[in-house]
Amino acid sequence: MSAGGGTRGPMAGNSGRSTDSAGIFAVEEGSSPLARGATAVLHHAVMLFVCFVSLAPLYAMLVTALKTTVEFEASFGSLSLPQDVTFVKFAEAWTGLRFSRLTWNSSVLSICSAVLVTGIAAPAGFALARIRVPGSRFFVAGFIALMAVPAIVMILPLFRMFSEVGLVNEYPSAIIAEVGINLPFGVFLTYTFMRDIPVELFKAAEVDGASWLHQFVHIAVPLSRPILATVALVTGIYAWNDLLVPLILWQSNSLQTLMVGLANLAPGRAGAVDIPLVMAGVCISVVPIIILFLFMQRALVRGLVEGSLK
Amino acid sequence: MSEGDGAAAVGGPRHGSGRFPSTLVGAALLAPALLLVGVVILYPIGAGLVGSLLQTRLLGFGQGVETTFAGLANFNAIFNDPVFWTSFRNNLIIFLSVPLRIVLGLLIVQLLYRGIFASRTYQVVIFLPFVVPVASIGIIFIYLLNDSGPLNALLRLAGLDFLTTGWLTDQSVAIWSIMAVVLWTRLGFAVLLFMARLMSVDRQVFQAAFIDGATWRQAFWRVGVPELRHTIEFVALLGFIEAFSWSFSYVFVLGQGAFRTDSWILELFLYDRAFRSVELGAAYAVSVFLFFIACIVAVYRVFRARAEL
Repeated sequence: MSAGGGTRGPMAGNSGRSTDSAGIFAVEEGSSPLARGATAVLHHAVMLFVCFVSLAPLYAMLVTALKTTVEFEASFGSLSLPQDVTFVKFAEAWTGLRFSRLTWNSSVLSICSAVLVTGIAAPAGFALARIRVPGSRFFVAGFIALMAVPAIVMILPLFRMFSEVGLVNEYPSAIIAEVGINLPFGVFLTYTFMRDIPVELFKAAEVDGASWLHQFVHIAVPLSRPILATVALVTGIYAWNDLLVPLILWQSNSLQTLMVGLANLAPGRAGAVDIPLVMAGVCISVVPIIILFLFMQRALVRGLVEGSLK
Repeated sequence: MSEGDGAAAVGGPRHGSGRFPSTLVGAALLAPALLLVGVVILYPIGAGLVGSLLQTRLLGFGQGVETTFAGLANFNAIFNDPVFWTSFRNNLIIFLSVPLRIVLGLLIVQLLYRGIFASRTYQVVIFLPFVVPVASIGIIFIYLLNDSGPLNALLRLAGLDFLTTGWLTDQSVAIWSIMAVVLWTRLGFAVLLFMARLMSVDRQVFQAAFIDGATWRQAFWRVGVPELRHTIEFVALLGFIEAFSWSFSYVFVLGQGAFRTDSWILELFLYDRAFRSVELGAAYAVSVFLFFIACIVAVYRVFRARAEL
């Protein structure tokens, strides 16, 4: 990782300490190396504390899930490492608590939403950015505005609409809802990306007689792969993490997602609870997201930042 | 999309666009998105606006419902409902996490942006809670904040017994605990946006401050933070709408059951009126209220992004 940054940037040279590895800006004019060392230690102490707070709940989840109920009960409230690691709670959650089913439903919701949003946003972004259909500015403004409308505002009419057509407790309802909710973001992101593709690339193809569709399929889509991956990733994570939409539109037991299942396990709702077992379930719901995040950080962060700062 | 399949081979008789007029192709490509947004967002907004003005009465078992025009009676009803105002107050408490995340975020960025060793690793770790599902987080915190759970155990160990409390069970404390959980999950996003914005700032702008003898901290707050003002504005506005309309999962999971109205927020109020006590007029009225809050943010976003249109 290019963490320190060291001599990067014009600052270092100007401060006369171009070899200073303390930071991008070598700035502590006049302070002694010792004082700077002390400051650095302090900074790291602060950051390590912040990281500790960030990770503590996930650590608690993991060590609790790996304990037997007996060991857990014997040391309730302690976050010690398990004495002998057991995966028995994972197996129990997977079969006994039907987490295999919940994981399947979450995956269906997440993957279908991601694929559909990407597949629908890409042509829409192209139509707005490249073809510039009449009213493009208006449509783009509309999609930006709709990014701000939260699902809670729509949920009751959506429920009534889907129950009228008999789709409540059927796969399409929640998927359609998640797709609609995530589309404004997806369209906006693909639009800005495709708009920034150099026009010359399209013009050259146009001279050769390429149709709009040819330009879309053979130029815009291949060049937009990074942003399409981002849209899919952000939508997929959003749908996986969402509670409200599946809670309302997939009410039957066989359609419960991980989030709905977990919410039902919240103490006070399910009576006496085997906490290591619940934590194993939480682990199952969290691990895919963390893996996705760690491996696709760049794409994810890009989407979140561009969707926000533009 | 299928109508264009053969178009590629035909030399474009029109403006380089193939066999079909540009508008037609564009409309075909745009149609699925417009259709879905219409069905999933626009129609429900309209239905909500209409529904908030109607009164629906059950006509006894099996006889259906009677719908009458109610004017603003539904709004009158919710504004006279003390539970509405308790929920509203709790939304405001959750909103307090926003100034906190901005200040804490800036303090963290002050260290990270300077490029201390491993700052990228720190950033990833701080961001991690943001991607973890809220419902899962909620379950973990229910255990951590349990009356005899790890947090209270830790406090007792540190001799701070007087600080131990029922973090989620004590009615006056619960919503503050939920606010802290919101802060915990959202802080990393503020840090991410601040860092991203600062990365696009020319480092030269800091130079003048250094020449004037400013320390890093002074330079950051005098030069860096003003550069962040739009980002801070955005985080504040996003946090505002999140506090009112995207906090359902937190309170649904952490709020200790359906009938503890003292930790409700407006979304829980809406959820109850829509799906449990089935007072649809009230539910629609709340959704219109939340929609108008969303409109503030929508207008701001369009205004900010007008260069992108």
